[in-house]
Amino acid sequence: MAEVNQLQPEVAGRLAAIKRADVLVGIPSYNNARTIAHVVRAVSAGLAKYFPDVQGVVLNSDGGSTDGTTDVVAGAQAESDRLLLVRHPLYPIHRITTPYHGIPGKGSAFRLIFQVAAELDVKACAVVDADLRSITPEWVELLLRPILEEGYDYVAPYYRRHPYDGTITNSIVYPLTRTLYGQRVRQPIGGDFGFSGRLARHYLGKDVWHTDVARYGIDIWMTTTALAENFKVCQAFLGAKLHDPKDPGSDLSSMLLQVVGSVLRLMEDYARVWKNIHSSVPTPLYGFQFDVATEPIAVNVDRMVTAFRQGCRDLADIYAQVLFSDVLQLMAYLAQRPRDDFEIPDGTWVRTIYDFALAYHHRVIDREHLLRSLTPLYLGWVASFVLGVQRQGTEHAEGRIEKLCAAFEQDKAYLVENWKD
Amino acid sequence: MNELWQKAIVEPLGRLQQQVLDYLPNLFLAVFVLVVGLVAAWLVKEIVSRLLRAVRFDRLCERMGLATVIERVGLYRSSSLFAGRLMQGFILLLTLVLVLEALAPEVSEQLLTRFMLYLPQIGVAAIVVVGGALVGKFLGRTVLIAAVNAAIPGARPLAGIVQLFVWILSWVVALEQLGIGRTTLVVTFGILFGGIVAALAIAFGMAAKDWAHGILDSVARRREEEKDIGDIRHV
Repeated sequence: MAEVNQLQPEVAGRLAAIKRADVLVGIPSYNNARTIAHVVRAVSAGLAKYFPDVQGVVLNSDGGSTDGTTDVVAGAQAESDRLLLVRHPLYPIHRITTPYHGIPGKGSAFRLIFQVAAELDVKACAVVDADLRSITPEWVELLLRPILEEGYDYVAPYYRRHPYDGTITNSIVYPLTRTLYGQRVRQPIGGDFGFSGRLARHYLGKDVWHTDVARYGIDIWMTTTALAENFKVCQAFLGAKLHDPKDPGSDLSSMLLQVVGSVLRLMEDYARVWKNIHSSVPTPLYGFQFDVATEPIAVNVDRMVTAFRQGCRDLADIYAQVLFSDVLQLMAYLAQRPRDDFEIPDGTWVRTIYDFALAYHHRVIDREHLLRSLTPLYLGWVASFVLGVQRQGTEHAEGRIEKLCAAFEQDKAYLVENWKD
Repeated sequence: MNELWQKAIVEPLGRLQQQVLDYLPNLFLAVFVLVVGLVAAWLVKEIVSRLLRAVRFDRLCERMGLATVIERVGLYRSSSLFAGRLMQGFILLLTLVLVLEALAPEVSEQLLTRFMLYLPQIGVAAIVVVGGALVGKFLGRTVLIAAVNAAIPGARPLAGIVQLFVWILSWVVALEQLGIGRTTLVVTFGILFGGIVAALAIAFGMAAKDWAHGILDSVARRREEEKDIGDIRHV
C-alpha cells in the first residue's frame, strides 16, 4: 500500500464539510491562466446540465502556477454560478483549488485527485486537461455517464484529430498498447479520462508515486493498468481536441523518453498478461460521432528526413547493438534513398519498435541513451507517414494507422519469443 | 706444496661445496614454489574464468559497457577470461616474491615491503583508468545522441573529443597516483590543454573570425530548423 499524501488542512476541512459526493471532476494545472477559465466553466456547466441530481465536486489540483492560474479558477467559478440553466441543480457544485505535493508533474496532481475521490467516496471521476480550447459541457457527460449508468470503470477519450497530430500515439503508443493488451483504445494517452471510484482507489493504492508515473507517465499508466488488470473499459467520442499551442521549448527526445519509457516499463510489469494475448478486439465507443474540421498543421518533411539520415549515420554503432541486422541494413538503405522515394515499410517499423523494447528490457545499453536515440528513427517514420498521406489523401490516414496496427499484431510472436524473463 | 694446495684449492672448494649444499634446499624450495605457483595460477585462472562465464559475467560486463573497455585496454575478447588472467597474474606475482624469498631472504624482504606499500596505489590507479574509460564512453555517447538530436554537424568528432578528454584526464590522474613523472605530467597536461584552448579561442575569435561566425551561424540556423519540423503535436 502506498503512503498517503497529507491533504492541506483547509482542503481536509472542506472535504469534512462536504462529507461525500457522487462525482468528482479533476483539473490538473500548471501555468494555464490563459485557458483554464474556459475549462472550469465548461465542467461546471456540464455537471449542472447533465447531472443536476448528483452531488458534484470540481477540484483544481495545481502544481504551483506563477501566472495566476488559481486566481483565474476562482474568477471562473463565480462566473459559473451565474450560468443560465433551464433546470437548476439540486445540489450546489463544490469547487476546490489546492496545490499538490510530491514530485512536480501531472501524475502528482492526479494522485491528489484520486485521494479526494477516495475521501469523498465518489462513484465516478473525470479528469480534463487545463489547456483545452475545445472542451464543451458534453465532455463531462460523455466521460461520466458510461461509469454511472453502464458500469464501466474506465472511459478513454476518442477525438477527431489531424493526421499529423499525436504522431507518437499513432506510431508507437496506440499500436503497441492495442497489440499488447488486446483492446483497441485509440487515444491511450489522450489526457482526458473518466474512471470509477473503485478504480480511483485502486490507482491510489499503487506504489508508483516516486517514479516517472508521478511526472508525465500518468496517462499511459492509468490506461495500461485498467486494461491489464481487467477493469471494464470503453471510449467516449469527444469531437475535436484543440489545445493551447505547444511549448516551443519542449524537447522531442525528452518526450519520447517519458512516453515510450513509460510504455516499455509497463511492458515489464505486465509481461505475464500480454504474452498470453494474441489478438485485439474493438473497445465500445460512446457518443454521437460527427466530422469536425481540424486545424491545418504545417510540417517540414525535408528536415525530418535529414534528421533520420544523420541518425542512421552517426548513431550506427548504437543501432548495431539494438537492431537486428536485417532491420539495420534496411534503415541504412533507406537513409540513401531520395526524399520522394522515402518510405519506411510497416514491418520494418514494427521490428524497430520491438527491437527497442527488447533492448530496453534486456538493458543492452543505458535506457535513457536508448530511448533518446530513437528520435531520428521516429522522425523518419513521421516523414514517411506524412509523405504517404500526401500521396493518398488525408482520408486514408486512419486506414494507414490501422494497417500499421495489424502489422504490429502479426509480428507479436517475435516479441514474445525474444523476451527473456 | 701440499699445504698450499690444501689452502688454495681444497679448502675453498670445500667451503663452496658446503655453501652449495647449504643453499640447495633453498634452491629446491624455490623451484618447488615456482612449479606450484605456476600450476596454481593456471588453475585459478581456469576456475575463475569458468565460474564467471557460468554466472554470465560477460553479459553483465557487456551491459555495463565494461567489455568494450576491456577489449580496448586488455585486448581480451572475454571479460571472464580477462578476470581469470588478472588473478593468474596476481598469483604469479606472489609466486615470484616467494621464490625471491626462498633464494635471497634479505633482498626479498625489502622488495616485498616496497611492493606491498605500492600495491594500493596500483589498485587506485587501475580503478581510475577503468572508471575513466567507462565515464568517458558514457559521456561521449550522451554528447553524441544530444548532438544528433539537435542536428549539430560533426556530432561524432564532438563526442570523440569529450571521450578522449575524459580518458586523458583519467590516465593523468592514474599516473600521478603511481608517482610517475608527477610534476612533469601535470605541467605537460596543463600546458597542452591550456594551449589548445587558448589557440582555439584566438583562432575562433580573431584569425578565423568569419569561419567562426559561419559555424555559429550554421549551428543557430540548424537549431532553428530543428525546431521547425512543423507544428506536429507528438502526443
